[in-house]
Amino acid sequence: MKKLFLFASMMFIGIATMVAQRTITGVIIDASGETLIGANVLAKGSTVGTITDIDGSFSLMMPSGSETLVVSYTGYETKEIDVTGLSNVDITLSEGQLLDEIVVTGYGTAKRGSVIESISRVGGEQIKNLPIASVDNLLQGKSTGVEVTAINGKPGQNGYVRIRGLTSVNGNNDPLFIVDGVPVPTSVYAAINPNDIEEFSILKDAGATSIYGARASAGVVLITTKKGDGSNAFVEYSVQAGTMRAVDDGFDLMNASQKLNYEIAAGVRGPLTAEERASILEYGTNWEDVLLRDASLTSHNLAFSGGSEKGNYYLSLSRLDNQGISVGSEFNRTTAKFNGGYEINDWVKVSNSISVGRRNDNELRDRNNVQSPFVAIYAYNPYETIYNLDEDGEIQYDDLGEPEYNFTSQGFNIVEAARNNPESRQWSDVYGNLNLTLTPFDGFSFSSTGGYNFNTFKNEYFIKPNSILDFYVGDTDAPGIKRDSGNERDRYVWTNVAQYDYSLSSRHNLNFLAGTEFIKDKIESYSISGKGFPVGLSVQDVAAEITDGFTRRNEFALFSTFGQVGYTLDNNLQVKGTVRRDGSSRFGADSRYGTFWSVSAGYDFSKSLLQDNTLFDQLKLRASYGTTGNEPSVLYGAVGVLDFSQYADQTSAFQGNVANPNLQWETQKAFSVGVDFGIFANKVTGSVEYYGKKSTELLFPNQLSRTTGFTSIQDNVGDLSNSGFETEIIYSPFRGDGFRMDLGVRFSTNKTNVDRLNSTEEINPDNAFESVLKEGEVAYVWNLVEFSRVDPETGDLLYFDSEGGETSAPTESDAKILSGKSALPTYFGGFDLNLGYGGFNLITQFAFKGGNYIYNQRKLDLLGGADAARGQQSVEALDYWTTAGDVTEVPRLDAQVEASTSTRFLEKGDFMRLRNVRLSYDLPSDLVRKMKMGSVSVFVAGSNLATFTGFEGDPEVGVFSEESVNDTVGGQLPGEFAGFSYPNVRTITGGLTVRF
Amino acid sequence: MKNRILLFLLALAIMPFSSCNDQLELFPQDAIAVELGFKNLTDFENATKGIYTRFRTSGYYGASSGAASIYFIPDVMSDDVIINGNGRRSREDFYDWRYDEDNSSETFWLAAYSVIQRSNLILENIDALETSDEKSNFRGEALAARGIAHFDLAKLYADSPANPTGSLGIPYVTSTDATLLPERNTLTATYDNILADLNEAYGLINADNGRGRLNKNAVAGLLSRIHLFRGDYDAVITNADRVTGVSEVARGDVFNMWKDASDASVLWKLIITEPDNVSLGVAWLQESPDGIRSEYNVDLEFFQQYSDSDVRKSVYFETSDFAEVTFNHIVKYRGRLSGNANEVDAKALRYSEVLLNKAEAHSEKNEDGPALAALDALRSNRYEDFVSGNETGDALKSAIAQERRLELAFEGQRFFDLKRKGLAIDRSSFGDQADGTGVPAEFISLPANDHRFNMAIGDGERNANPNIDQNAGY
Repeated sequence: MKKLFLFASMMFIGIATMVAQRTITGVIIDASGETLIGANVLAKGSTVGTITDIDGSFSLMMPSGSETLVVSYTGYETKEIDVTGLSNVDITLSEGQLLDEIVVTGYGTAKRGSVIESISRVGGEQIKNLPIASVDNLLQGKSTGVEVTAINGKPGQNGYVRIRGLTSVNGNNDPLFIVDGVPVPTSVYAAINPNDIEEFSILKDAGATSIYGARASAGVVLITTKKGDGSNAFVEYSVQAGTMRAVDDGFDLMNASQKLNYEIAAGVRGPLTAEERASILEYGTNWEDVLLRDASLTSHNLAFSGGSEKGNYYLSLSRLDNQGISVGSEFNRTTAKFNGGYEINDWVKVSNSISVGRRNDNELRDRNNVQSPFVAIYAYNPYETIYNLDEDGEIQYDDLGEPEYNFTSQGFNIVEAARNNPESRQWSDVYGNLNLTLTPFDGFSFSSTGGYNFNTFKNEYFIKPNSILDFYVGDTDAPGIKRDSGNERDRYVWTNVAQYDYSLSSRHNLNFLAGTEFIKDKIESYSISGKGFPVGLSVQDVAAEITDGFTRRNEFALFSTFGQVGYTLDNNLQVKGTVRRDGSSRFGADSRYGTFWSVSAGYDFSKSLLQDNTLFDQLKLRASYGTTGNEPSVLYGAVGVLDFSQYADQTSAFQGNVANPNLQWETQKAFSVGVDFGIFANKVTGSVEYYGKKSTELLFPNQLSRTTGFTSIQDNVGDLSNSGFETEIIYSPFRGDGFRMDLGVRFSTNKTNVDRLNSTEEINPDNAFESVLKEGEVAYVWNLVEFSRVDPETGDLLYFDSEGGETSAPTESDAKILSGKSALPTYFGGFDLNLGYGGFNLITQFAFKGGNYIYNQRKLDLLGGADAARGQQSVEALDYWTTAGDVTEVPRLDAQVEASTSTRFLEKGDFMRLRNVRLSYDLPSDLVRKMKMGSVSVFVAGSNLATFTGFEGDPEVGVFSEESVNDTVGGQLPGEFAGFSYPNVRTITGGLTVRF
Repeated sequence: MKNRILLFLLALAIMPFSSCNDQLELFPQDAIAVELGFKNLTDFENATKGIYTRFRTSGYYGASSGAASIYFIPDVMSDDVIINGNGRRSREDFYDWRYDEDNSSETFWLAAYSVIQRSNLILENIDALETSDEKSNFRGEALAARGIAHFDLAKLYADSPANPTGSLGIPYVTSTDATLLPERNTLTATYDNILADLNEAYGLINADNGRGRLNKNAVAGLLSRIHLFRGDYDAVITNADRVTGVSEVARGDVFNMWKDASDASVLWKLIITEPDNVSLGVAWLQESPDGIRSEYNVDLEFFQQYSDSDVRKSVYFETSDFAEVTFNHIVKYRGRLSGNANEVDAKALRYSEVLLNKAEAHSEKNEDGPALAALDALRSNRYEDFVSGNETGDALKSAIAQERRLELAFEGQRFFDLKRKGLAIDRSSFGDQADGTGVPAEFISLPANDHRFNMAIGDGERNANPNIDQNAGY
């Protein structure tokens, strides 16, 4: 590769010689004296240029009339050098200043220094080599105002991403993710190879997001993938391997002997003779060891990147094999990507991006019963065996020679289920775009992009014939149940954007942008169920009977026009106005169109009033105000429809919903004001920002009297507001050669308040269990009976009733609104400490969040009292009350243990976690050169290595369990109930990156 | 050239402005607008079946775990069963009479009013049809369904008119207007409306709709049930006698009838097919490779009242082990002769009940002769080598009550029989196991006329509709 470039350079020089007047030679180095290989050197005002060789030196024939060199190198400041009268010049490039960093904005780009909106950039280098498959989870702790909670620890699982709080109750709360200009659904996040990502750009305030109109109220995340660079061609291979295991659950479970005593005391088992006891205790199982494991993770990534004067390319292939921590489970992903661009002539450019990939996983279902291994390890007793054993402890076999599984106290055997009830999922993803950009005259560009996104999802769930579950739910005459289901999503987007920059004078600059966008999305789903399968076969073709099946089709479309005008005065005052009009198929004809707009302004004092000061390198005040919208998650809420079903195998019809032809957009009004600063020669940079957002006309099911036959109608009711501070400070005292250090702190606060509801009573929304919405309260405030203590006299659990007295039998009317307490965090953030010396780099990233309250259902399950005594319990349960005067936190064994409706297990969720640590070493360039390579880097990394919290168990709670939530996983209020979902994992990896 | 390309592209970019509005007109592909669905006989046929689809769901007759099915919770709340310590403890709130302002019976409240809404939607649109027998029949079915759903609500949420402690009925809804916030009608008005609908339905409905749909016999039989709950014995007899062409299921066929292998004596049932995914029997048990895992077992004291010559003892119960412990399991809904476990039709009305209604009404009127005849018409088809006891007077009354409890066990009747008679619920002190050992019921008795004989109106309804008064005691 390098040779090719050298050859190309030689050719260039050769051609240049014919017209050149003189030769300039030199060496280009960085501040630390390291030579820069492949830096661009161009004679200003011409197309004559070259790149530096492996010694950082160059030689260029200057065309006549040119006396200035333009020297550039990725990540460094571009420098212009006057070479009048010189023939040899050594040039030192300094590393690029933050303010010159290019930031991706809605439908365009801007230099960091001239951005007046709230936009956070997360560079690809910051997420490099993290053992996390889904790109949304990579953003955790990386940006102010962005809270990311993993749904659970399953490989490839998405996260809950909340930008500046909760935007909607029933509408969408997921930010709009746009990959290279194409909006992608959440199901595609895990399809993206993180190594392909050049950067994330997170748009937070209305000034930045309103150009995305109706889909932007939850914020926008723009993902830009890597492009080839003509000046820096390479082949890069990286490999990573490691292991992952569940983070500490914080519970001590009973041992076999303790458990037997407990069962006898609880009355679920009669007294045992010493002999009986010994025989029970003789064999047993450590269920955690049997069901969980240290899972391995390996990934390979190969990328080719480069280009020429006219074209560029980036090609990558990747493979991830990520075992699940439950025995037998695995997630894997294969991706391929090609990004290319070509300049047809000086005003026409074409580019494309295409990604294809496949994902597979075969995890067991994540549900809140013993069919999930993560529940099972807390349910099976330590004295229970996996198989039925004979008196000698030998496994017993049935007539078919299969081992006989022990049904255990749960009437089920998870080891058998893992083997006989397999589930597998497969996704195939194709997404990409084609772009044509025209720059016919100075300052004007027109860009047309066609984007496409095609995903298929396939799910197979097989209850094998005569498995234990088949006995419970199946048909003994037609054993075995199989369900094949899946969907196919087809989305295309066509975007046209025209831009024009116009200078009135050197002081006044105007920028115009106008565009149109059309999106059409179609999702078709199917399911087929059959029963009666011959042993060993599982396609529906062999089913004795097809028992159920359907196909469905859902579509939506969105057509938008948008425009933006920007004005800059003297490079320090900027004003911008944006407007977007969206038409959505989800609304009735009367309210189909919504218009959204914003204005923003910024003023940099350091360039004007404080021009002579030595303290501030930047001091910019900026503010924005504007509106965005939120589409309803239901597709056809405006229309009253007749649904179809069957009765006695014949068609039946009934009204499915109550029509609301007036259904309209959820609108959000948001303002944001902030200061960006850089002091001490930009050694300290940062920003402080305050925002307020108000979502009005919330889309919400308006409660109906049930005597109408319906529970609710889709309506616009209620207002919700969010406000908070965001602070980011980056301290970089040492740069350049030798010792390097960056300390970054990001701290955000947020409060989500319900300002108005259609009812003065609290409302229990569908996507929460025990928290409610109440006017004037924080959103999803807890509504629980307050727990008092264990009565030392009787051993009963005592609660406060509505009059403030103690009662052992509370009713729902004793539940109180716990003002200010909800599952939503009030603060969150992260801090990083990055140290470097020579080739060594150490990255340390912490993430924290708090102010939230979590119901610890795990603890309730493990302190279930006599009713739960057949299953495993925590050792804490042994401290039960026995005699009058006992002061303990555990009630008498036969006390009524409440459902999850009291504060007894409500705990603060504050925590801080050592999210990532990575130590890497770049081999010295001399050595690498001898090895005939571009660069070699090795690293070791760990994630979730330490957690600091007062919460009992893992405080990072996403979903309770995937299958016990209403609707979809994504629609659920995150972190309300801690259940035994897939645990989060601690990962240790190591790897190597080589560039040729 | 450059300009021409530019012009072309600009035209291309502007094009969407004109054509895209049509693209935004999207409709669901699995449903149609309501107003398009009531035009011809087929539409009404579909909509009528839509009523039964709702009767079938969990909350009404169906029984997914925990839902308040009218078919089962009245037994769970009665003295016929005991909760199984090894089960999943589903519906325990009902078993323990712990329901209050909570929402435990809301699934039924909603299901019943949803049946009513579907009936009203047919009645409001029925004049789209020309006058015909089919039209009358659709009207009859819709009126009958509306009346029955209101009765099922009234018997659970309001007093028995035979034993009133207050005067609140339930809202009688005859419109599909979704903005309505109705008050509760009086008890008298509620029953007047119920009877008016059913009596009108009786005149309109076909006799030959089949057992899977409401029909003339079913309406008459249901009227006898309603009048018995009201204590109008003359009307019980009149309506019972309107049931024609049916005889009581023979002893040898009782088993087949519960396995859906015979329709003998079934007047109305909700047909359940495999795609419905409704397993009635899971209210009582799950099949497991370790034996039957019961949610509730039959109470031993009650179980002992079934004699060995009674065919029901083996049809309704099985004594077998689960996890090496012996229980008396309730197997009445365990499934058909073949097919999925626990999947059987819901027998909403049987001739056996009509006979018992009639027997009770006659005996209350001291007409012992016809009372005994009706009772023996049932008993002779249950006991081996049956010889009538020829009971009279109070002995006859208690024989009828006893036979009613034995015959209709686990069909959603026992609780209401106690309620209408103003009797207490007294559970035995036996445990859950077959021999009476094991854990006994935590709550043994519910005093006569306790407020918990009426369910609390759910919070969901009360929050949305301030006009609804709560029942006393909640």
